[in-house]
Amino acid sequence: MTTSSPPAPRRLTLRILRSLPGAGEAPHWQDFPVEEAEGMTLFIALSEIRALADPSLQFDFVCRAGICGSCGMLINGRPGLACRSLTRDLPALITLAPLPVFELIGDLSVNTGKWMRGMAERLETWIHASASPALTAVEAPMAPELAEAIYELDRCIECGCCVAGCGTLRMREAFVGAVGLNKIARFRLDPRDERSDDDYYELIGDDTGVFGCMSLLGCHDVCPKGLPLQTQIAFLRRKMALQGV
Amino acid sequence: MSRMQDIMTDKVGIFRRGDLLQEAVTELQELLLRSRRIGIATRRAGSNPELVSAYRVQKMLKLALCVAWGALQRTESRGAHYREDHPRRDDAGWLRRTLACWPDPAGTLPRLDYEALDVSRMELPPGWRGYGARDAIAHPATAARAAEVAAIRAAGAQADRFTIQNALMPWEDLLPAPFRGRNARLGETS
Amino acid sequence: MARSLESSAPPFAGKAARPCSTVLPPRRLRASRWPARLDLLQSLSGLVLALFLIVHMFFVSSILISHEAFYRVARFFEGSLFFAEPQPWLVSVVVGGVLAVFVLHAWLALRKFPASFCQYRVFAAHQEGMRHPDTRLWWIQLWTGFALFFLGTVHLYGMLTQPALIGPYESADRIWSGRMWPLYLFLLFAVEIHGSIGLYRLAIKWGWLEGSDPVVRRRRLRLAKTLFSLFFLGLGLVTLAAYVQLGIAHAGRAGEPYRPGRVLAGEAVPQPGPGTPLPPRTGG
Repeated sequence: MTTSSPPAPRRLTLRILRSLPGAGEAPHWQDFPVEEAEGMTLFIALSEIRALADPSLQFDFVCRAGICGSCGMLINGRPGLACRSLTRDLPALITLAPLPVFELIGDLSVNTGKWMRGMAERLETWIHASASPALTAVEAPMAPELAEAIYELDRCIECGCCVAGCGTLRMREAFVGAVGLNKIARFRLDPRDERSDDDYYELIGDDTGVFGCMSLLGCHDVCPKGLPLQTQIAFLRRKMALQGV
Repeated sequence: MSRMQDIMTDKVGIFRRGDLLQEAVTELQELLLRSRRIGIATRRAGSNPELVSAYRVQKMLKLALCVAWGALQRTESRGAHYREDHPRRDDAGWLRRTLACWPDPAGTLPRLDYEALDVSRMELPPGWRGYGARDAIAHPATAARAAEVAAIRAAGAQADRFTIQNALMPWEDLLPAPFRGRNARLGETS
Repeated sequence: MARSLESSAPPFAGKAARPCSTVLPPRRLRASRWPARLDLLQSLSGLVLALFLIVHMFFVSSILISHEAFYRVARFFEGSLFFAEPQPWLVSVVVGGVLAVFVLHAWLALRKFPASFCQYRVFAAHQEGMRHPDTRLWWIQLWTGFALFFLGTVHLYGMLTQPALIGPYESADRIWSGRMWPLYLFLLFAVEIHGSIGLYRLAIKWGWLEGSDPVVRRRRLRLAKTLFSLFFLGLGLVTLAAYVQLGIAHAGRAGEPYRPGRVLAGEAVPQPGPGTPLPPRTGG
């Protein structure tokens, strides 16, 4: 007989907002019991529910490692990546809801890609250069510090957490959000992009752009990649305000 | 589906053995037969993940069988296919591609065909790759081609890399016209 | 095989001539520069009001030093340094200026208010679910700002139209006998909380005091904001209590203006101020 046995695993309840747009199914909460395991993430818990309890439960995962950005959802009301959320950091009752703002596919699955594409087209988040690149020439060198700074902002995985965590955007859905402003900050750094601040003002110089930001910092605080959104938006605001005076 | 995943992980991994591969093939065939009677428990419109899995699992099993059956036939070791019962690379017998197809929809095994590789046109004929034992069974054409390549390289010692490449294995004409330019390289004077 | 593909697909080859370049579009009509200016103005007007608030609190709390001190401060703003007679219109001018900035700030802040019930409900639910301090701060700022539309206007209008009625007894009478103390109590909380959050947000918004470590900086800013709130709330409450106490004591003779040197029965004699005694107040 052993003197001490490991503590019994917690019984978790995942309260999931089920819905199916266009199928006449009213959104409703459904509870799923899950037995907690060592190192369990919400991804594992959800997969278990799908395998054992309800195979029709919709949620998105690809990489399971916080790289692809598909598993953004509201975890107890806050946006986050399910694959990076350990159940041990959460209470025994965990509510999961799909990210707001984005088009709902069903249950926890939303179409972030559609929104991101619209944002990218509107903000023209690609290199604008007047000359065609010389295909056979050696690439122009870039200082490592600059490359590093661009890469820092390029780490965005477009998971949509900042969009769902932004009170401004929730009220005014035309706002480009931190993800959009971060992209502008990224291309503004890039020496290959020939756009000037005057051009960027055309894209973000109004209340749907940088001046719409109310500095609630929801974006900064929920970003799973820890992007410096607060300082980047402040920086853009200064640059764009200079265009106005 | 999870049984298939287990079989593929346990018996059709990188290190393989004939008897285990045979077991895997047998079990996968049973699973394939079972999957043809698959049903789903939930009735939900939209993209029901259960329905998606039901559609996909049959095709996944067929693919798994192509891999396992092909691996069972290939009695040599090559790259990520390591047969513990056939540890040597056998270029003489197996320097050829496995082509699997599924002609009989009701069948439980693919048809395997083999396409030989032309050693005499290789830029880098099969040799020792710098790791592991040098115990490969050579292809009969390897020695001749290796000598040919060495001769071309020796003859073109002064020539530029484009000339040598063209002599060894020309490919520029395979590119779309705009991409045929000669790329500059760092530290290389044009 | 690849060769035949290449020859049979000229469109691809044609496109590939400029695979990823984008020619800059011709100059568009320029976007309005006003959003930038409005944004700057909102921050600037808020900053001016916050600075005024700080100075104002220190002047008003001079009552805690002595009646005489507050009397002198009030006379100073009526131009006692330059004019022999008090010039209350000078106060009106300052108040008018503050009122203008106040109205401008309120007008600009309206842009940020929820514009419909739908927006209101979405934000309310959002801040509830997020449990995120900075989002909640904005919600507080929204409500305190809304309250200030009314509280601040009443106070400013009073000061604008009756600038001469600023003095130890005059103010105390207004607060107690004039029953302004409930308004001032609400106003105090609203304005101090709104102002301190506003200053904090200004620093975040424009990236002031950006150190090497933004996390540490934000923690410090938050601490500064809280201390600012607490200090001015404390100061304001004590000051308001002093006026209320004075107002109760002076209630019997409400309306009588303060004259330096003269004391209310039962009160301690205030310290005589330095320099020449100021002329007695004439008007009311």
